[in-house]
Amino acid sequence: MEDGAIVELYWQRNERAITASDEKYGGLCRSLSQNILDSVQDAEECVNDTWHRAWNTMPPQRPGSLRAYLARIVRNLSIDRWRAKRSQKRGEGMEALVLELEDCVPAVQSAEAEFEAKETAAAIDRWLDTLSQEDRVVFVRRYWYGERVDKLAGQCGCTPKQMAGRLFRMRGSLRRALEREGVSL
Amino acid sequence: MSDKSERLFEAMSELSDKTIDEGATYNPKKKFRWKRWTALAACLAILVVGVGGITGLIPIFRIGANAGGSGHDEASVFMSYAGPVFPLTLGEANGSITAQRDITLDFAPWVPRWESNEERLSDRTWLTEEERQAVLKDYQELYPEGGQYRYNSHILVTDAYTLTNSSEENQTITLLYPFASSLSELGWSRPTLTMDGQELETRTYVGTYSGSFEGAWSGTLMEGEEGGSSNLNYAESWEDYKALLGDGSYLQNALGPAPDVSSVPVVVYEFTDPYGPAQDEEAGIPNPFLRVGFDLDYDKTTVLAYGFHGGRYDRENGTMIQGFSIPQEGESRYGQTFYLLVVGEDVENMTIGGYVTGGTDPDTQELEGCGVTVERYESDLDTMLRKILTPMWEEESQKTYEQDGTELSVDFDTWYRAFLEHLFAYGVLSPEAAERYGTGWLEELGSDVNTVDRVCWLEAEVTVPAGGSVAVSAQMNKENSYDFYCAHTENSGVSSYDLVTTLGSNLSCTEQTATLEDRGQIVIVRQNFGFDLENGVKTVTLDPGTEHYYLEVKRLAGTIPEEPPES
Repeated sequence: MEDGAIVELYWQRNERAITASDEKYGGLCRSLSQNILDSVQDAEECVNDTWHRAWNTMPPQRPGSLRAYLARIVRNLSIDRWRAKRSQKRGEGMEALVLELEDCVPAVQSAEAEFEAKETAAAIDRWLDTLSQEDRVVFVRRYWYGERVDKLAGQCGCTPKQMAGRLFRMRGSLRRALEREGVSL
Repeated sequence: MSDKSERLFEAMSELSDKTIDEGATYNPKKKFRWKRWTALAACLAILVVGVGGITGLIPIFRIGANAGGSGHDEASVFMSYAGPVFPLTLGEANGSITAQRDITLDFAPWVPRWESNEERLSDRTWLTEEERQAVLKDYQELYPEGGQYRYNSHILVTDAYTLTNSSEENQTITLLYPFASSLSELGWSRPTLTMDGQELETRTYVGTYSGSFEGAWSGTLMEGEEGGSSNLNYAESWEDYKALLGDGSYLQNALGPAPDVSSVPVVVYEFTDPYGPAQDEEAGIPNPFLRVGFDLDYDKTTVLAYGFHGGRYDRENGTMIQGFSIPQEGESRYGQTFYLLVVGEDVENMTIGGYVTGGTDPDTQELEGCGVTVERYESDLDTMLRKILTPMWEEESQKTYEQDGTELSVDFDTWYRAFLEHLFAYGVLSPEAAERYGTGWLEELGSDVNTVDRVCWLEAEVTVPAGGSVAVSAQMNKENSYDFYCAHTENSGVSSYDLVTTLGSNLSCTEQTATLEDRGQIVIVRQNFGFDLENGVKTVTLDPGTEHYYLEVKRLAGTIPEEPPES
């Protein structure tokens, strides 16, 4: 079903909206949540919460991209849940991803207040635009969707070691870009 | 781990929709040098042939349910099944022609190939020299070793036949070579047919959707609950194909005439130049919307819609609402014509009104100052569908070209035929319409026509001399069957390839052999061919009594070099 039609179902308060969302984007949302939480059960609950949140926000929302809208909800819910449970699990899911992103934290000590998330994201978006499409996708799949390195390697036709090196260099490049823009976290 | 990196991770949630969408949809594999060897996707099902439709003359091909899961041999059932390699058949059985079949499974695409940064850049021909140098610099930073190794998970299949004519007269025969593909993948999956090394001129026939439908919650149904038909249901094993092709009627339909709907009258409501107040959230107009409502008898009237994307269907009270957002200047839909095609008795009491949103609830607020030009006229279904679908087909062709660099490799008539067959088998004009297409929106059906799996045939004519032989060969890629990585099943990392020896074929084979070109890339996990790599057994004779052969392999450890080549 087209995204526009699914959004219309939400607006019509038709429960098929949930079915259609799950059918089309359930796999993506579950996988994303599981990558962050490293738990099938927690991910399932986050995805269910995502449908409720979507149901409660459409209307009035009419997202331009339903996929991005739903994925953003499930990502944020998963981060919240991970925070709530962080003491229970070490070295898995989001913790591994956040540890890697340590390389991207700019060294600049700005006198300004911390950047708003949207400003930081806009700076990252600008940096992503300088990359080739494949590199951009690789970065987003790793640090937005939490895809595993070996899986990314399989998708791109390289070894996990090569993929890890590629991500390492991209993280360094992002750090330099954020420093150039004076982003303070 | 610092709070800063955690904040960075969280801030990334605000990346643009474009970036997030691209991350979810872009397929890096499409950029591989081997892209033309990508995938045969596949499906299954039971074929039910019916005759009927609105004129009583239009043939309807429907697929029932899955034939049922795993095969009877020891082959694994994979989450993504690519379908088997099928044997050649003849347009008409010919007692004078026999065949020796030799099939080769070549793992050449598995061999890692070094691609330098310059080579990697070579397909981006649209870049200026300055941009090229900038990108190359990025590549050099990302791949300081000068490039990277690439490999694929498909194999190359050569399905070769020596056709022998035992009669004293030349025999001109029609070859039909089957393969599984969707229309959108046809450009990559279509085999190349040759005779004595020369490429044959071929014509492509496409079968109907080879799968079935299931409900959204099929896996969790309680006893007594109905399954529904809102999802596509794909093939799981070769036996599903056996059910599809076994009695020959699926092929017969593919070779037969296309449905003719030129005698089906339709009443057309054509909507042009819609207008209304501009979208303005603050003014309480988040989505200026035109709603077209009418009365109808659902048993006597069917409505097809184009351009509409909101609807309400009340069979009990005999009403229907179809609607669309009023395109704003600058939107791609601006200037578009919208259609309602009424098949059967005309609708009555049509009303048109503007609303502030696309909601079809009775309390949705009306919007003043909206309007649209409506023209009602009578035509036939064929004329109208050709008029509406031609731009849709052109758009799909353009999309395929932009995504994959290839044209949609079916002409309009072939695509239109596939559309009609799908419409009459599963759309609202079918007596057993799938819930998936319950809205009557032509765009939803058109999208599936491109992507659902089918069995297709290449047709070619050859002459086998009296008492002589010719060598005919089909070369193609064969996608692997596999389990999704994240499923963590025991078959994670296993690739499977399979073939059938006799299914759907009327050709008499004197012998069939299979050869494995492993290229030193694989270890065999399961098989029933009888290959023995350790002892050098790479060619085996197949038992004609065994209908299905399978080969399940994993990549051999250490086959991907860690270092770039020296030269």
